[in-house]
Amino acid sequence: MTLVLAACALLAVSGAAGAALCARPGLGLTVAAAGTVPAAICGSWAALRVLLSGRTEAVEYAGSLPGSRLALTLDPLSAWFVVPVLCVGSLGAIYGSRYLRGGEARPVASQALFYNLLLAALTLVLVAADGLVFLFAWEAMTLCAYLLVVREHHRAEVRSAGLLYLVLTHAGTACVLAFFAALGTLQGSLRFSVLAAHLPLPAATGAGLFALALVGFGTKAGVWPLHVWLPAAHPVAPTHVSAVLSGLVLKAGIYGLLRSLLLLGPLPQSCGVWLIVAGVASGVLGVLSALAQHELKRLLAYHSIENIGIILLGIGVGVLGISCGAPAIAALGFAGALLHATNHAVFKSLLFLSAGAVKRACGTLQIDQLGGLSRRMPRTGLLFLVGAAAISGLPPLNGFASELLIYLGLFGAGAAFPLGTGAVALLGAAALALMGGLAAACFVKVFGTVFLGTPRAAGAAAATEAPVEMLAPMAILAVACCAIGIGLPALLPLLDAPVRQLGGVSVSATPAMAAAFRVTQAALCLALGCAALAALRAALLRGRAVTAAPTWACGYARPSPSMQYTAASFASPLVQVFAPVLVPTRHLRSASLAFPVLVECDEHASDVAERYGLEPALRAGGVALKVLRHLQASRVQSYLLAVFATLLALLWWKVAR
Amino acid sequence: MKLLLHLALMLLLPPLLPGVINRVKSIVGGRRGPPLLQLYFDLWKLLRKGAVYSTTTTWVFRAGPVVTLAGALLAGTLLPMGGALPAPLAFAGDIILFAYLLGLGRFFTMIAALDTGSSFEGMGASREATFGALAEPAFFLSLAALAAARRSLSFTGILSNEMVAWHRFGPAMVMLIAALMLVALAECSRIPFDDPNTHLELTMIHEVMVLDHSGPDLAFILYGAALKLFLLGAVVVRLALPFEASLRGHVALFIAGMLLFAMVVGLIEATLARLRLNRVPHILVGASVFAALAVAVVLIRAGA
Repeated sequence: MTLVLAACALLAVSGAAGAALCARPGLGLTVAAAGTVPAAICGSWAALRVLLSGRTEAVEYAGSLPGSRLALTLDPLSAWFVVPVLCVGSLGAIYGSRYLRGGEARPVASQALFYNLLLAALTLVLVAADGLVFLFAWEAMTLCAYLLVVREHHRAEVRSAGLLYLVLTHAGTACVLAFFAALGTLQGSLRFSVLAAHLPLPAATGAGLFALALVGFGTKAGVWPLHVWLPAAHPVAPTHVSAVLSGLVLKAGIYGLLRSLLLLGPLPQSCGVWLIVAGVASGVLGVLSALAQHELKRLLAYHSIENIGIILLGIGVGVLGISCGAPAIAALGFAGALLHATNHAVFKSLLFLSAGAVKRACGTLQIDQLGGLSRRMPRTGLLFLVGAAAISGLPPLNGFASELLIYLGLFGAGAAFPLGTGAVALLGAAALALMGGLAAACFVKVFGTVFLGTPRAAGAAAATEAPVEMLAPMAILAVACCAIGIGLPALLPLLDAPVRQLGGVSVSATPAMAAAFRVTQAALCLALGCAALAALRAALLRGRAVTAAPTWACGYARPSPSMQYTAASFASPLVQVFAPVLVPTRHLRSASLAFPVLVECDEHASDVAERYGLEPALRAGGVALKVLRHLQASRVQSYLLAVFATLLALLWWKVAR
Repeated sequence: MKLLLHLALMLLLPPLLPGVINRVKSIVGGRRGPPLLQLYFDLWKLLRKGAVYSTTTTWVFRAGPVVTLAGALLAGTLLPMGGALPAPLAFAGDIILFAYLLGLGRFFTMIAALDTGSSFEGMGASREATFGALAEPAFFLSLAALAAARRSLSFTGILSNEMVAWHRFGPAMVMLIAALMLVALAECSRIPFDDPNTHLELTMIHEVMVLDHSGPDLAFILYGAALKLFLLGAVVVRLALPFEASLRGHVALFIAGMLLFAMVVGLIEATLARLRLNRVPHILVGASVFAALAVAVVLIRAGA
């Protein structure tokens, strides 16, 4: 535990030192990034110790507010999240120290400070053992993230995205606050250890509190339809910040949800069903929206919503398993959710960092302006492909490992649970399969359009490979993708302690362990098979004519880059199939005269939640709040009067009680 | 011994299926048609040829056929060929690995197609992605129904002693066979989803994605496609012919079943026209509905 606090202190100090060196921003960034490495090592070491031993470490200090104590605990659940937060965060910092160089001095240096503080606050959220401490850390995390998002605040769209993020996140925080307030009032304490040890709540109270937690933490995690801020805010941040926001900060929401499950105790079955429904909605609608995007980082942001959906499916299976008295199935669900949370942190960061390399090389992330980059940036191309295959859940990479656990849980639940619940679980499995297919379609579209073929614009044609300081963190993440996928049997024992904490049973006691061994075998067979077939082909082609020729264009002799299929065309059939939920708008300028000048067609999908949920809500809110507007725009005297009246009312309320 | 027999069936039989399909189509169409072993001849010829690679392509293009075929071969080791020939690599959850290995193959075929920068191949990849994604839920719901009916997450458990399932969940099995047949036809780009014999690149799906492959690469692709048809067909055959016999009887029954499957596919191809591309999703959703009904039947019967 001391090591985790030391890691936080290191992060804060190195961040401050980096910011102090604002005269030499390059050095400042390097100093701040260098500080994250020992912090990651210390913190991960402590967390791994907890994961291996299963023992909880706790510290407590007297707080500065009357009656408050600064209680911090590193239990297995926290430890599981601490490792990716610190490690991926550190890799992002190293990448960022190169990526940000060349910007104006002041904002760059302050970025290093906010970045390190964000990681420290996130770590504190994970180890907080008291509602009050948790909320303080939560708020610090939100504000640091906001300051990072609005780095390019001279652009209007960045400011409005930042504002949207700030407002909606605080709406979520309000629910979290209400959750802790209600729970604290019911149980008489905000200490997690007291809350977790209390008698079970009545089913209705538990479900109500759970709904508050789901909305509050779901807003942070980007659960559909509370995700609206996410695709706006994540793409406008510098790319390593987007990686951390998508990969790590969203996981704070997942962690909060899991923590609230521990605090609430056993929940009714309906809560599990709701989690699965929310997971299916987030997953399917997230990936469909991603499919219709034309900008790479926005597309990746929508994929985060999909992956949060997959994690919720796992948590849903876990909750169902507990409520139906099937701890082995619950263990599979929780294990899948926890592993997918880590996996998403790894492959989503990898994809965002690769996107940053593309942005740096080509100056744009409009997918249809790119192309042919795997010839010009072969290493970035390979690393992006690893991330793309992992996020599509393809074996033998890490995305498959966690989805396999969730499938095992869903199928198990379908066979073992009562009719209605079982049917929901099996439909969840079908939805997960659909998500997998759509994600694969989406990443074929992205990889094919951005990295394959020939460049569609001058920027892509002039691209050069990213520097090694950016490639190295990406390579480490890609290796992690492969290692987690292939080394699943070695990793499952680490999941035992947190899964036991959540579901009561170790995951290595479930069929998952045998499956994991077999998947490793299959992965090795697959690698051997590929090598053997490649060798066979090489042997067959030896001594025969291997020639190069232009691509076959069905008889057309002069194909040009602009004749390639575009990403929009690639996605069009699926967008048409799902038009009712994507609501695409199409602008078509077609040839009408005998001598047509310009023919254009572009298609944009709208976000249903934004169009039919947020915008009407904001409009209605604006109308409702108009009543209060004149209060706000009046004189100081009336403010004083209002303050006095409030004090009187509070006094009266206190006396009357 | 059993392992060798399993591998021999899996490796040698697949190229026969397209031959049977084409022969049936020819006979129904009043023609004599190509020899039954035509695909074996084609493969032999292609393996001895050189190759032409497009100047646009990278290593991705060359990885495509290799990964696709390796994935299909590995998927084959997860599938039992008849009740007496269990899968060499069986575990609880292999049904999921099977589906995702085929998905891996599809992914690499599509990116290899896009690597050429050809708009035709892009078109094919786009359609493959669309129909592949829509076929996934139908396939998984079918697997879910079977898994729930047999209380097993392994093909070796699901596809043995099928008679038990027929007695208990008869109507569900009929719907599952229909759903899985549709999935097999869609995944293998057969009529009514795609016409492997069409002449126009604009209307193709699978054939247009592999336009630029030649020599051994094309051999790998053709063999891999036949293998995929064989594997998905084997699932249907094992469900439809739930009889138990000795080892020899099993092998004979399985081979006869696969030939019958190929004939049925041939009859479908000879008598149906290819659907318009925008109708295909309807059929795939229909397959999902069949599978979902089967899930409902299984869950209700199992609970009763």
